[in-house]
Amino acid sequence: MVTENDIRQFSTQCEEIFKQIRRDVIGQKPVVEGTVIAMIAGGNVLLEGVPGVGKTRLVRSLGRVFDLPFSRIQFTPDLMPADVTGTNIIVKDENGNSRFSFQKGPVFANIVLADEINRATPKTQSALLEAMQEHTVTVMGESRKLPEPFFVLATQNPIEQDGTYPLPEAQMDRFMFKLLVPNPALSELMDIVTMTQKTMAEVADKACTGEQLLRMRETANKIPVAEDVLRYAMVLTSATHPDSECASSAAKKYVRVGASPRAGQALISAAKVMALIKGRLNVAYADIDELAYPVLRHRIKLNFEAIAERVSADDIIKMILTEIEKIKK
Amino acid sequence: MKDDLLREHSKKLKKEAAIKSALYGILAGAAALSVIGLFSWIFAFKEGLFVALAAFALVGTAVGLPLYFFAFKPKRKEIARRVDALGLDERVITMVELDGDSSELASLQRKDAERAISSSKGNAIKLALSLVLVCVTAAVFAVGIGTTTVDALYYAGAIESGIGIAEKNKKPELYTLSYEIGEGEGTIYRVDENKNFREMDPAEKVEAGGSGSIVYAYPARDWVFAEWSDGYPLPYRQFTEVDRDYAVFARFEKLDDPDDSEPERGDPAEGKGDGDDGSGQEGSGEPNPSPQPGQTGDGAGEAGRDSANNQIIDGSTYYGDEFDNAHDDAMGRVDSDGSLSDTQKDAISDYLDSIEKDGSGNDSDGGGGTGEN
Repeated sequence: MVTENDIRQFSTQCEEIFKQIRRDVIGQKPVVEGTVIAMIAGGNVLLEGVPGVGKTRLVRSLGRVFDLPFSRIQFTPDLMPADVTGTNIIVKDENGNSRFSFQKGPVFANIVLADEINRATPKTQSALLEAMQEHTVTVMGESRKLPEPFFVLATQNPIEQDGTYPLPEAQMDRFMFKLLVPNPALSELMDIVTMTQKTMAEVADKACTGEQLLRMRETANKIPVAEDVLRYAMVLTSATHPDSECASSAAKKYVRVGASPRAGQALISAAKVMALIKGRLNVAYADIDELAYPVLRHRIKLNFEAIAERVSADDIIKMILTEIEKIKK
Repeated sequence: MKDDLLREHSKKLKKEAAIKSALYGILAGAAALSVIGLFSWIFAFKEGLFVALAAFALVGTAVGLPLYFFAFKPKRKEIARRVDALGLDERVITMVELDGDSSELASLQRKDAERAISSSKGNAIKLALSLVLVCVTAAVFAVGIGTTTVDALYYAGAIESGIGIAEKNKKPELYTLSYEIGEGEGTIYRVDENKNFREMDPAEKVEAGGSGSIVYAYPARDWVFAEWSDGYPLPYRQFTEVDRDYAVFARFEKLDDPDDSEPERGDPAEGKGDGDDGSGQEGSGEPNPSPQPGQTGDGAGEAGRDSANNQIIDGSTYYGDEFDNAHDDAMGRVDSDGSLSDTQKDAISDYLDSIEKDGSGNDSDGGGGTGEN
């Protein structure tokens, strides 16, 4: 049961979260907003950008703001899955007997920063699959629950860079959003340099606890979605498939594999949070349109024609949105 | 949902639905009006004017009313969608869907939507009428008005029906009558209204049901007309009530002995000659356009005695015999005429004798002529 107080609290906390993050991260408003939305909605976020644009700083700041245990895994080519999940080690008990004891890996935290995730091998990357989707880790046949709320905030360098391993589709699909972190604008760059001349330390304060975050998620989940809007979101998702009944002409031409049903779920969950952040108690078409890019861009597998014509996933999403615009009327 | 919340918007959308239904009704009615009006005028159905007007009213109502009530009359969700399109971010449609939900969230959402609705005005909704529909309706209605006007004019007797006009303007069907020389030598003449022989085209065009010219197959010297290719025996002929193309050939036969007292003949087409030399070579007389067969006046001798062309009246009496009889008769009448002096009687007798002496039929009126023979 969502009360007026819950709504008010949601707004207050959101404002406070953004305010605190702004203390550490200058600019990058869409990225910050997208990350917060994903966290409230319970999704994982993949941040892509060239080195030095503030990806890691943003994630560290979020860890502070949400006052949640935070761990950072620096992904390297020699990182092993056990380095992520943890492993059983032999320990002696008080009686001197040896036994296996599970040594938790860094994934056992509420916020996991998987830094430069595409520098690790696919095997290690895949170690996060279960954690991201099920919020559990299975080692030697034993499953262990991860603490809630649990998020993986991964950063990656653009795949064109040397020494990167593209993330497998299955893992990509488990990220609710893929946010592109652009280079800061000139004014932002000046502010960044000015700020970091004083101190490099993050200064953001705690704005929200884990419980409060879960409560916010619960509140957002109750936000109603009109049938028309829901259908629009699902048509949008289906339209990315070249073989679906709603296939858009852009998808038919440029897409090899479209977005999975997880994309539809992500769209609606995130749209509810976005509606609340905007002070609305219902989801609008505008929310879906805005979220289509971060939700779908990493779930669309382009075909050769798109690559040859240098058509990006964002271009295709734009084409699809234009094409299905008439549904709104 | 409070019903009065969307009243203003609803009123406007109902008006739009009514206009749309009316347009479709007028379109359908005008189409019926046009079709019935047009056919009534074409097929000369005078009462069609009233039938068309009645059809306009009936069809218009029959189409417009159901469309309004079953298709265009805005339902709450449709009203909500249109209101949302004013920039209300789907608040109204959500509110409509949450109708009956008593949860606090639904109530809060409703309040939010109501706030948004009250800030938007009903007149902000623009009537969404298809320009194509308006144009098509106007065009069809104009056509309907046009056909009704034509019907009314026809009803008033000011204009004729379509069929009547078509009948008047119908182009007659033409057939070709072709006359040519098949065998032998001769000429085919057309006989004009003054009974003159005229050169003619070998083919003439005749309207269906009409008649062709009177034609005459005139044999050349030493030839005699035999028959037409379709078996018609007379040189004169005329096709009447023509209903198809005809192509006939005149057949001439050569006389057995052309030197046997065959007189010189003039060309009948050259008109009346002066007959000065009595030879008939130049001064042929005008032939009678309706002579009997054989009345060609060619003065044929014994060689042509049996030919139809060389007979008169019944095809068996030789004209020389007739001439003798007539001569004798004339001589008798001259002799018995007391009013004539002897000198006069002698002169006439000499003249008649001189004709008899010639014995060729080359009378002074021209041997080629037939009318005199």
